[in-house]
Amino acid sequence: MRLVREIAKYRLGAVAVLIAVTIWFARTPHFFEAETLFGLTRQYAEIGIVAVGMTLVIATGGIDISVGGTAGMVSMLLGFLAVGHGWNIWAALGAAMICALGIGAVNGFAIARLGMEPVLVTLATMSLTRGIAYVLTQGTSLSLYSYDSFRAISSTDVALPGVSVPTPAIILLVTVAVAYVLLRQTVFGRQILALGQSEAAAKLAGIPVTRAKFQTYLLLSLLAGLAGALISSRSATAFADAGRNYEFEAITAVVLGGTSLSGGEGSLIGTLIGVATMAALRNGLALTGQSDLVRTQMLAVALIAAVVIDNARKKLIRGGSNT
Amino acid sequence: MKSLLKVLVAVAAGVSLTGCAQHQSTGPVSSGSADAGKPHIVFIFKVMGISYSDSLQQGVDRANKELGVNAELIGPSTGNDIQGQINLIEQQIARKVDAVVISANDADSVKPAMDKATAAGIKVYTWDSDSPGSKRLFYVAGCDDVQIGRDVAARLAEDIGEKGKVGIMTGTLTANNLRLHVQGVREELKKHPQITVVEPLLACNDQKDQAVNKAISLLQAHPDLAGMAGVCSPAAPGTAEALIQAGKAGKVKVWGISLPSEVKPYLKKGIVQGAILWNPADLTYAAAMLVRDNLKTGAMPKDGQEIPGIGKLSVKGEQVLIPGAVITRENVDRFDF
Amino acid sequence: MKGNPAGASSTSSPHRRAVLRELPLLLLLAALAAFFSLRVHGFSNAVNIGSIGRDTAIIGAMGIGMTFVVITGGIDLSCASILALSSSFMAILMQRTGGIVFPVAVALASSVALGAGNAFLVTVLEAPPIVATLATLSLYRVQAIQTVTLISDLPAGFRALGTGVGSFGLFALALAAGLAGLSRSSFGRHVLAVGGNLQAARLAGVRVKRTIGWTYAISGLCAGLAGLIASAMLNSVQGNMLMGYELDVIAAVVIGGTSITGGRGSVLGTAAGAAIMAVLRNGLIVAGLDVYWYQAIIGVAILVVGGADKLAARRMEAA
Repeated sequence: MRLVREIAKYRLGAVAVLIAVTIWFARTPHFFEAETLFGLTRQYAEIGIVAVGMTLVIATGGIDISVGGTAGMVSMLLGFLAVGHGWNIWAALGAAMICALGIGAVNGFAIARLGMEPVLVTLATMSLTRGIAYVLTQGTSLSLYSYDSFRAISSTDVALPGVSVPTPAIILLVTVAVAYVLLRQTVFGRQILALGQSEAAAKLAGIPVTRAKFQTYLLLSLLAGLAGALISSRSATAFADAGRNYEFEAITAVVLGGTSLSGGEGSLIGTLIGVATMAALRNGLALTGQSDLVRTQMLAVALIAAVVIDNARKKLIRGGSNT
Repeated sequence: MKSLLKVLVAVAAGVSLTGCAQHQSTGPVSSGSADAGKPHIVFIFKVMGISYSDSLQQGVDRANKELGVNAELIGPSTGNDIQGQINLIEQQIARKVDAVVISANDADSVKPAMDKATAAGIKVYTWDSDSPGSKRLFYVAGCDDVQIGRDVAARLAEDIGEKGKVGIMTGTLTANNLRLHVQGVREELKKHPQITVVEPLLACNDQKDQAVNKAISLLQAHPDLAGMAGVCSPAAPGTAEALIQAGKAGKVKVWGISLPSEVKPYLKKGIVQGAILWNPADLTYAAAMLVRDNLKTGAMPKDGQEIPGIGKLSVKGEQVLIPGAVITRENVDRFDF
Repeated sequence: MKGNPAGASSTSSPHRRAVLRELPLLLLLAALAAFFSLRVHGFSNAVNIGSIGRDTAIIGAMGIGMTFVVITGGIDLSCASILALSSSFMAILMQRTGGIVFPVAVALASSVALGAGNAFLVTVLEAPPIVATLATLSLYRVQAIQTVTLISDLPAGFRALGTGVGSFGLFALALAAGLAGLSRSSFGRHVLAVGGNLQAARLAGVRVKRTIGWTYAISGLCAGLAGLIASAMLNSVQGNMLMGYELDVIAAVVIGGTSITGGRGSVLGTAAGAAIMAVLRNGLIVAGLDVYWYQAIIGVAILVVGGADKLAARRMEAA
């Protein structure tokens, strides 16, 4: 019941768009089949994981556009170390994830400690990470087809009672659950929301603003790296361009989920709805044989629609409280 | 000032909305019942919205008219989108189509998705750019991928008097057909001791604007460049444009693998010496026919098999070749693609 | 500039500070150019300078419009898409009519209209700029790809705009207009005031929404102008032309010292930023270095410039 109330109160726009998309495609063959609903979760689990971390960063009033670059860097690094230098694939993955943390640390330091603008810093690290990824092999991709254990992360299913769920979907759900607890039940979560509402007030209240912000960016880079590893696993390839446009897609999912870009609020359930909306749109369009171009366009329209509806909701609430 | 802004806003909103409405109206209706019973064949290309993909679309249209198939052409909207292409393949599994025909952006990365499709009972093939070692049943090519590189290089070598510096421009470093084209160019040029290949190998992401910029930069590094071999379709016209800007039109010889419609103006002015290409529409039409026959009867393409209006196939193992064309200043007007 | 409502008390001292602010940037540009001309054969010849000039003009022209938007605290991610779509309209008209003046006029008018589309989303629908222009980035780009695949061989007269002189002339025109518009007009003062302190600007009687709206229209116009240069240079228009350039443009604006939070910015700095980007990109390729280094180096450059700016600002605050 609390969930329903939360959805009604905050995520009206997201839910409305999701329902509209579902109705739009309701008559499309295969739309409600398990193959569509579950089979394709492998694709959007990757973007969902990034969107979860992005929700926390946006809740602090920040933004991170280096996530796609970080995913590409992790993909290329792990291939470079494993294929190019004969490392064990898991050791290579570990090293690549440490580098992802390094990028998160750069972002966090520059933003939280030096007080630089998030857009500026992460624009720079986006460029930097993509550059590193390309320089490693001059843009050539590396095949990971023979690493069966690594490929299994994305290709296997986990058998739950009655239904088998793709492993990436489980990873996404676990990520959401952990982040939910982090945001709603811990001091860290309250600190994030407080500093997103007003950094000055948070400082006065004795909240360690710098540390909380730093950790948020660290967490997001880690999740972006995880997404990069999942992409490599699913495609059995390490390539510099992995995670292309993830910054845009993750922000779209968060905004579709009704989280305000101005900070101070963050709904992980909303973000999950946002990801589901994007997935429904993508699947529906794919099932009707629409081109990638049309999908891109529809996503843009959905994004605007979600913003407009949420603005209207905010005005209603404000109007209501005045009278 | 205020009213002007209002008018502009209204116009812009109108433009955006009509743009969207136009596409929304083609919404969830396309898998209509008229196509029931016809084999559903989906061609997945590397990138949409370039001249080459427009030409592929003509082949699909012709196949739908003449072959009794329900074929369509899709692809990512930006160049070299490896991930986008994989996603598109996986989506066809949910659609339960009969066959998927792929031109791979990255030879290896499409393999897992093709494995999944095969496991789901969908037949997979490649055309235009192969994925060797995958579960594809056969590969329909416009050319022998290595040989066409050799042919381009041989003609270029002849035009530059078999000596001097030569640059090579490709589309992406990961597409298998382009990798093999480059390999062919390098092999052929090695046969001429007085020709040196200048590095780096340029990659224009299949976009003409990048081709121009990269060619200009290479020209600065090597003002004595004698020739340029382009192995993706925007490379030769992009190089030609760079030569005009650098005042070197005609001084540097250019051969490429490009559409006649792309290189025509430059051929006529003598800036591009020639191009070798198959007709992408014919390539796609032939692939649609061979895939249809394979779906219906399990028949594999046969060496010497005649495709109406296109010519005889040559088959080597799993690779099927359609006849190509050499395009020069003299004959460019005869081609309509 | 912050907390200076309506910028009414603008004197010569901010101008002098602005020039001083640009000095390190210009020195950096000069040093880079000197380095490449000494170390890299072929960098400083006329053709290559022309090529750098064109690249500067394309990024710089878009950057001037973007500077206005960023000063208000906004961002315009759709500029490269506007460039492609307005050029597509132009190319179709050129192909059908063979004329030059009318298609160019349509290109510029449509670019303003597309910018006004952004203005509508940001000011009327109150969508956050990054979201609004993210949406139009896709909408306009897809429209461009569906409008034109490739139209080549544009009219000979039009191609003059793509020469080193032509493109730089256009860019200089935009630069002069941008400079005058930002620092010598009441509109420019309003833009700075809105970005500096929105509430104060509103209290001082600035029509905030209209000012912000116009900056997006200006950004659209600048993208249209850059589209003329780019199409003339390529002698063709493609729906997918200059895809992804918006990030280069934002980088140029940021390297040029415009604050991404708004309230402070410099058109001249943006021009210098664009030139630095163009010199780096070109110099690295001519030097035979991997072009991929360019991205990594630009990333570091943004971090360094931004960080130094922040530290300097802190020191000023402390003083």
